[in-house]
Amino acid sequence: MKSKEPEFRKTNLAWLTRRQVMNHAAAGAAVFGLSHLLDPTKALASTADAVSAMLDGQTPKMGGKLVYGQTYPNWALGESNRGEHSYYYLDLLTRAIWNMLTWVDEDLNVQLELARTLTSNDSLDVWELELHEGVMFHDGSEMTADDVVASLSLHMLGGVGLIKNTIAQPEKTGKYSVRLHLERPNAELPYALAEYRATIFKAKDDLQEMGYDGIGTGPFQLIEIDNARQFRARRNENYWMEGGGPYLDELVGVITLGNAAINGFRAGQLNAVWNIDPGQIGQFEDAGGMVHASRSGDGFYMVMPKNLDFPWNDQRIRQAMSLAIDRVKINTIIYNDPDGWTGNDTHMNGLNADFVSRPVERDVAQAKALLAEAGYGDGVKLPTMLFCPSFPEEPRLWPIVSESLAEAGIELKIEERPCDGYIPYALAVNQPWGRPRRHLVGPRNPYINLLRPWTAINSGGKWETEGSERYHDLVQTAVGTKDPVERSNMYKEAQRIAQEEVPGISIGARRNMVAHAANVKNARSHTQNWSSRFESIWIDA
Amino acid sequence: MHPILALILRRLALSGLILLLAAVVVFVGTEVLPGDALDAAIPADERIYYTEEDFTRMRAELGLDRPMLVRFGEMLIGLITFDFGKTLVTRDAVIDNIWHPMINSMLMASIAIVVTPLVAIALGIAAAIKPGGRLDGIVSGATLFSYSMPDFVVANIFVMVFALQLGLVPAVLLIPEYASAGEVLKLSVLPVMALIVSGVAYQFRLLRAGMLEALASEFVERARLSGVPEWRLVIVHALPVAVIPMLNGTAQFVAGIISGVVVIEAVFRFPGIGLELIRAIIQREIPTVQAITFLAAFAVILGNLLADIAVLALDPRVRRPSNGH
Amino acid sequence: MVTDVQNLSQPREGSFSPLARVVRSPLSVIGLLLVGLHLFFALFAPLMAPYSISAILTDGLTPPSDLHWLGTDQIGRDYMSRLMAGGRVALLVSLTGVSVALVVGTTLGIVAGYLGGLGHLGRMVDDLIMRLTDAMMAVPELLLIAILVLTFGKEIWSLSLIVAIVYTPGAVRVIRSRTISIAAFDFIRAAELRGEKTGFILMREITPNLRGLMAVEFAMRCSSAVLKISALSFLGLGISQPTPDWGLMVQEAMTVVFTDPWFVILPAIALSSLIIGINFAVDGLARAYGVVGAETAA
Repeated sequence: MKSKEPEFRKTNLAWLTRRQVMNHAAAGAAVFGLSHLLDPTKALASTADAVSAMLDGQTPKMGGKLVYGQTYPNWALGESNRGEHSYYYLDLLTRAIWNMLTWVDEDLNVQLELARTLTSNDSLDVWELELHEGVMFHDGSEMTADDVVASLSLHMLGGVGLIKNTIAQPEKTGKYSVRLHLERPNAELPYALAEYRATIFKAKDDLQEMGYDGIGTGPFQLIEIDNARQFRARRNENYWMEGGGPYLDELVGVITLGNAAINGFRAGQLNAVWNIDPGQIGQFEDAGGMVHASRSGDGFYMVMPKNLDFPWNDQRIRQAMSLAIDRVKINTIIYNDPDGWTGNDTHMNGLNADFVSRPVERDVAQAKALLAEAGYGDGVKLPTMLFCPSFPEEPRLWPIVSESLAEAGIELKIEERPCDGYIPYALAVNQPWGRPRRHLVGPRNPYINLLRPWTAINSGGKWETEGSERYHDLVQTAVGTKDPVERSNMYKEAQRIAQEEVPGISIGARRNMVAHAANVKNARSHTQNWSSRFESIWIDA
Repeated sequence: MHPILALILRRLALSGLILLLAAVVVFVGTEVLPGDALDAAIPADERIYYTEEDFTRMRAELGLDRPMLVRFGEMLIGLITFDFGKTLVTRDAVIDNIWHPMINSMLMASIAIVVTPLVAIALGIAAAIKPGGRLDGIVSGATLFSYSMPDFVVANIFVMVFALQLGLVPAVLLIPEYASAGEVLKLSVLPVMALIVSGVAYQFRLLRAGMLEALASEFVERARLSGVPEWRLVIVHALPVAVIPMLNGTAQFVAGIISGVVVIEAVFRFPGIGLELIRAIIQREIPTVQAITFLAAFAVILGNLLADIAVLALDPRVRRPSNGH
Repeated sequence: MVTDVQNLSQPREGSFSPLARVVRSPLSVIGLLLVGLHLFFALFAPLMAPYSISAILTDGLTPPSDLHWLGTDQIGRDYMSRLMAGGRVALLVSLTGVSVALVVGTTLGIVAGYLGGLGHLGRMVDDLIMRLTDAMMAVPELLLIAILVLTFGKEIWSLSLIVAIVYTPGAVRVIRSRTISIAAFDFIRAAELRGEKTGFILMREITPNLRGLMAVEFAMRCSSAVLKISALSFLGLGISQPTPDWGLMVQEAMTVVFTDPWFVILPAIALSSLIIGINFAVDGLARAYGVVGAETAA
């Protein structure tokens, strides 16, 4: 055992700082470009290019076995016992087995995957899709427009909310081409098609039967899965994508809760771990691991139902809470990133170009004043809030929230529940608002990020005010607006409304990290933790 | 009827009665004390999320609006026929969720239940050959120490030493829940060792006391005077007598192993029933909790019944009809 | 379940007081000292601790310093303050819970043991009590505690109540078994022949002879209860953040055990030293009172 380093651990991770975020906002510039969306008629870049870019300058070797641990189980979305369907896939890293039509890259720009081209009409409500030809499913059959139409139709039944709400009708226009009729103009449709559940399955007559065979077009073919624990897959020898890979003979993914991640890595049973506990960087490095960090990650958002008689139905209490929470301390203690961006009480991520920073970082005196004004001069006791430790640092993160609220006289107990079945449990009462809880926010494009606090069932907890209506109108108008500057201004205006009314509270987001053995190449963490790719991973013997 | 057969039947009937009462304990603990399964599922500070209509509707859905005795009868019939009903939130069959974990835990626990007494006997013999001697002191001290170590600390130490430092066994159990018995057993070595360490002290205590008593008894003294060597006295004369109090403690021993299994599984993330129980308790899945607790009680009572029968075979005094109490 | 009535030791009214005998054994003295130390911390930790148990004072894990003698934990809370208070809940809950269990258990045990020997009705009462204890003990302790936590919650008073419920049956069994042995002695027969009332016999003749066994029982069940309560918080079913608990602290610190082992070792030592202390004291008590190992372990 190594002796303790007296200094706070240093890591050379490139975070996105608060200052950077503010600079971007001030300049009004989209540094993490959405340029391809500025002109939606322009075809998007192809994912194959992104994969070759990762391999650039490397001489990948074939063979080897990657056994990765994953600290994040997908159980938040359902239960552990649903087998081979991508909706319930054990760790969200569905791109190992399946492909989607598009992919969101590490800078949150959208790229093409199974789609060869994707273009919209002028009014942004009809999109034309051409597919790659010669894409084979794991059972040897070819993927055609029929499979895409059937898959999208299945997702429209509710499996992928974004597709359900966006697409009105998919229409086959050729063996390899599909036309998508939208409910309303949407400049950000390509993002919806990249969702980790928006997998392309083999068509079946009964849509509901699709997806349960675990057959996809992805780089690896599923051979065994216990959805509570682990899966095994082997290389897809007929993988369609040009530009390299897959290289590994075998891919094994294991849910590693508690100490299993570091123990398995230390014992050499795992040669990579996705979503390591940021408090364990030192442990993994001590065991010979290397850490790849993405610039941001999943966010934490506190959902406060407002349908019953709660103190936080009063906007001032919510403002006080948001002002009292010490987000910088969380960034510092949990993520070793004191200058990082902090949550702005929407689902926007600091990596989003249109992100609007908090006007005031933290102000306990102001929080107390607001409480007093609302009639809680002696402090306020709030109903218990739930979280599930989806990510290993969460049991340390929430006590900081409680403690910093306590400094302003706000008593909020935040209790842990198991992740397996967390969402059904959280929503089982007080329907449709559910229990007060922390909601996990996957970082996405602005339209989706901003729509969700309004769709209260998922996030805002009955936010029904004049402001919320204006917010909703702004967001819906923005996504149908072609002019990027105009669109961005509307998004920013919407965020300011949310910052004033605090429908829910955004803490900020984690910094996703992958630890891997030195000989594992291209095992990369992604800000959207489910968007990691496996084609390009290879092992140096 | 043969008197021994009659005794066994008596014990069987008694075990049945105790199992019935254990079901009452489970029912009272999970449904009667808090009101009913619904109240158990809803802590007091969460009642604000329900209206009276909600309660009435859910009670009707779950069949909780019927008299307590009827509900108990149904639960009992369900438990005894191994039909554990459906989960509260997802309406899945409870048995589907717990079947494989139950088998895995049974594999692990049954090895511990068989091996622990053997270890205790070996240690007991070692300690009894020279009571008060150095070996006795070491063994007694070591068991007192292991008895004082929390099992989750012991298990974690085992992982660090045997898996991480020595690399003798895997640190993470890379098996699916439905793995074959062979695979499960192969990976159970370390969890079973941890179980034995925390379980053996209790049995050793019983055995050592019995041994010392037997070695001081008149008939052993007579054998000793006639020149029988000490090791022979210990193994042939004292052990069979001393094993009886240990066997009489079987119910507690098995119950202790099951408590240990829950903790050990949590440390090793062993795909067993203990993890399922913890999940069910936190989610307040009362039907699952009832099923698992009942199965645990069933195992304890079964273990005790087998031990009682073994005592009948070993101890002539118990077989005397006058001692049938 | 077979009750072994033989081989009981003669009830003692000996010349040395039993406590004096306990004090003569060095192990018992160590045990009692350890227990005393822990009790002291459990009672006075909130007064002596340098900081609040939940205040966040630094930016995470720090080594010992002048300000924080044992450093600060992963989210910057003073480790010494948390360690000092880490046994508080488990110990207080065990002491109160087991006391109640022993009072109730002794009452029921004496009644069952004594009445069981007096006629048909007494036999029925005895049988009823014994079968009920069999049934409760068939449910493993940790499981019974866990399901009762569902019912009663995890406040201090409810945990105490739960410990009381769970540890009563064991006390009943042991006390009953000893009562049966005592009842067979001549001085009880003599009292019965004198025409003493049953209540007098139970209170004045039998109970005084159970003191030693009760002392041993009390200590043993306490150590078991402390272990169970900390296992409960280790499993995430018991005491929750920010209240410190050694079981929980071990669990949390396991994530950094290879670089900062002290954060695991200290709470583990604290917990084990309490249990070892109690068990040493048990050994001493058992010897002083002539309680046979097999009897208390049952």
